[in-house]
Amino acid sequence: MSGITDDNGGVGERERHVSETAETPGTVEDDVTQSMTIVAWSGDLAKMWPTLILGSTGAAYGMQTTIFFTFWGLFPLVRDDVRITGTNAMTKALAGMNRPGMSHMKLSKLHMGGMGAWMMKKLARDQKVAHPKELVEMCTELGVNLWPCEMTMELLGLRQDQLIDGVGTPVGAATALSEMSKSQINLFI
Amino acid sequence: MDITVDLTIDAKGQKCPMPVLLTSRGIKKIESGQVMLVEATDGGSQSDIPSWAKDTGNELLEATSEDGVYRYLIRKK
Repeated sequence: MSGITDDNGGVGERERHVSETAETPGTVEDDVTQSMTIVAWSGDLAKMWPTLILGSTGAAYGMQTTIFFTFWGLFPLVRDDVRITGTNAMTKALAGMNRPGMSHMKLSKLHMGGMGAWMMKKLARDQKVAHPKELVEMCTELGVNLWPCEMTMELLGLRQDQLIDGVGTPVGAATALSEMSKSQINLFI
Repeated sequence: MDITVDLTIDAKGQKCPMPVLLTSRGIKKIESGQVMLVEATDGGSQSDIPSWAKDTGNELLEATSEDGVYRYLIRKK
């Protein structure tokens, strides 16, 4: 395929965009790698969804992007087929009450026994908004660092082999903070 | 303007942020100087793709729209 035929409606738009790009080549800072770190502390669908959207988009923008999954934020990283995690009665009961996995996230408000989350997912599917599962795959493909919190892993009795592919080795709060100190964008979602 | 398109990315029907994610994935598949065509229907792409191109240093050669489909020609830096 060669060339693109003009259409009258698009000419003004195109000229505007071309002049924008022509005027601002100097603003692209090749030397400075932009960096973003997101602390994902909640496993709620309502919070994990935007976290994964911003994380994957950050990587698409060429930013070095890291998501630090801690506390409840770690549950969605558990593989969907892992039903019960934990090493003792309490951690197992916790996983039983709050089913881990990217496909089992709940809404923080108006979950209504699953109806709320189901409706959101149906709306998203109909509108072709990417599912969290698809977004986390894009994250790994685009090179987002997915760091599980070491302490939470131990607290919940989670093992690395129970987590989805592409997740990095567990790190501590200091490592996360060190990354945040180098990041221009830090989010706590 | 006669431009050879080396790669076409079909992001039609997909919502934010997928057009940008697919664009970013596509640019890794072509060589410097080659041209990629991105087709999208998401209205957000009108601001997202030009801003992505600007921030990543890739050149947006053309942005056109026709029948609800936005087409972006991007040359890899």
